[in-house]
Amino acid sequence: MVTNFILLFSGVSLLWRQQRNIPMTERAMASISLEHVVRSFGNQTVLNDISLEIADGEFLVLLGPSGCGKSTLLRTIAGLEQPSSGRVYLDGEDVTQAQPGERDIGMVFQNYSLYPHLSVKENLAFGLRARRTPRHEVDAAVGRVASLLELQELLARKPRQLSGGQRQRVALGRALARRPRVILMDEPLSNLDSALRDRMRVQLRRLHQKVGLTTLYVTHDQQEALALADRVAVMRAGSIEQVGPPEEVLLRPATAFTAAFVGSPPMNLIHIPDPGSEAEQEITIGIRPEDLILGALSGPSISLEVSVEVLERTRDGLLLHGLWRDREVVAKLPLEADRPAAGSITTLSASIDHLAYFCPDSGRRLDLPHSERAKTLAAAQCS
Amino acid sequence: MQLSTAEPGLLKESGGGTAAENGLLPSRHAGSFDGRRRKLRLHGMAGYLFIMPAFSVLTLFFYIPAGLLFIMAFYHWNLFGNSTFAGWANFSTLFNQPLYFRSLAETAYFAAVMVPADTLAGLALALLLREGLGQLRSGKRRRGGGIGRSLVFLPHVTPVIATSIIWAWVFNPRYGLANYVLRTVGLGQPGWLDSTRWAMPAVMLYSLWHSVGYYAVFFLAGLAMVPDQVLEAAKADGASRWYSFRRVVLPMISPTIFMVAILSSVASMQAFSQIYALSGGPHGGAGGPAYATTTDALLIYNTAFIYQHISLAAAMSLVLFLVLLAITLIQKRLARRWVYYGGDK
Repeated sequence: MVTNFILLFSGVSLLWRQQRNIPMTERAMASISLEHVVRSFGNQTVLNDISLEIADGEFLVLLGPSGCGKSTLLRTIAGLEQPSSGRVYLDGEDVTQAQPGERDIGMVFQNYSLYPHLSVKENLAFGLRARRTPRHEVDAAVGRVASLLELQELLARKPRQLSGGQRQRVALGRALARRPRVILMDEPLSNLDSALRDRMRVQLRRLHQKVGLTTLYVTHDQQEALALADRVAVMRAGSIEQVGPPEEVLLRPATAFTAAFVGSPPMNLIHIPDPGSEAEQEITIGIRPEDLILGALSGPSISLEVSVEVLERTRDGLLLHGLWRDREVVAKLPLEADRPAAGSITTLSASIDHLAYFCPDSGRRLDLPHSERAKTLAAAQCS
Repeated sequence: MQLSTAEPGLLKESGGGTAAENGLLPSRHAGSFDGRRRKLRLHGMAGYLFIMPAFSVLTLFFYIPAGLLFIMAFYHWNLFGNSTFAGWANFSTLFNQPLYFRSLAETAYFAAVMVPADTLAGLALALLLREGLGQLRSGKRRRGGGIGRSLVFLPHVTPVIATSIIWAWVFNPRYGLANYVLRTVGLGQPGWLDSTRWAMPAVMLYSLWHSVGYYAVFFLAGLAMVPDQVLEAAKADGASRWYSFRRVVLPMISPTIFMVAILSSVASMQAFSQIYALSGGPHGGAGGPAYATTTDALLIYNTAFIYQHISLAAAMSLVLFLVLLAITLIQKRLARRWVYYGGDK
């Protein structure tokens, strides 16, 4: 009798779930795919032919300086902006023309944008209520999200009565309550103080491991990008410069822009004449501050005679700021290294294998054979 | 001086002595405390002096006449001779007059239509204007905004008497614009100001025309307080336009709705000029036809200045004042349930 009842109930629930299109698994599966997305306002192009694939369950961070179009790209995926041309796919389904509500996305805004007149509970329930979800289901979803983000104590409060970190968690909970296919975050940590930001960053990563939702995260903070991302997409002036795992973006930047933007301190970029070209063309060489050492190196290497300007102590090293041919060069030395006096001339060297070569026009990385590398440096009298 | 000697004693009781008394600070600090007190008192005097001019004008032309009204209501007041005490006589005369209750009913009718009409039309106009201005703005014609707002506000700055007389022509049964339009679309044409049934609706139409822009400007300010980002959040949450209007915009502009409701209640219960002018006041017989537009304010005017019964008019004003006070208090009490002030509670 009891078994029959359970069977009947699960059968009915199965039918009902299928009808309402509610996923049986803990989370819905979704990939995001952008095809040649262009967005322009008048004669200003904000997104310039962007194509990007984000796999199901992936945490992708869009990293770029302010005004590079990363937020516009996020809003285009959310449906808050329409692309001028190109297509947006969610899980293979073309949603370019779909309303934000039809896309099943959860969005976290930079300034949280909670509903100020509603309690935390009502904020969390808003999206479900808007879709006329039955009450018991709304309560269940709110309870689930509240326990996930430890909001149970705060359910009756208004946003005004919450701290920055708590508001952030409510904003996150509001996006998660509807079990979206994809979650989009627009600089969610930028309004928090640095200690809280460090803590929230870990929490976000933990949350992603637990829930496993496809996540697109916009930031200008490379530390966040490197800490959170499965893959980082570096953006500049409406285009994607490089997409890859954080290590790759950090260690093998694909363009001179990425090299100068990522890393703390970022790569040194110096220009030297290129012996391969007939006209007196230059070539850009990138040297990571960590790869520069004091004194000369045996084997093929680059040596720079720099005048020491400032020595800056950091947690994990000594930053030497010097001038080489009127360009600033930064070297990261071990804390216990001999300290050259400010104003003195000293030699910094790096092995030729550690150097990155960039085309000075396009900024693209050049993969030069070993012999070419040495020749270039010899011609520039730097080796 | 007495006050300042009492002060340190009080402090001693609550806090165990000031720093000066405990010998932690030189004792002259206690003296300078007195000095500061005297200075503060002088500053207070200066404040009163500053508000004096405005206050005396208000006293002479508002507080004294208003206070006088309370006295007049209980006298048989004679403007030029001796006045005698009347007790409640004026009020019993008042409450035995069917016309008085008729005027209260007409006032209620006018207010009951005008308050919702002002609020709804003001909000609707503000929403339309905002939407329209948004379109203009995206079309690089930023100048449209200010002009649109000014045009909507314009009727309110016109003199009521002047525009009422023009509207009396609009409502002319034979030659007026109102009936011309109705004739053109093939609807019945009421007698408007000549008809006991349609005179009040005509006054209402004019009043709405005159006031709606004023309230729309309030709503425009209220709507501007709703952050775009919150509306975007609602959009991303999957809320329809109607749902986010009902559940986000309306609660967030509830203080504006409340304020407009109060302002419109008071304005419509005191409405006089347009009713006077539209019902033919300058030619005598204001409040007609057949008392159809005799609201409380009209009756007070007629009683005081046509029938020359000042005390009775004063009693009516007093009752009107109490009614307005009561309605405002009730609205304020009700508002606690639905108005969101952005506070912590």
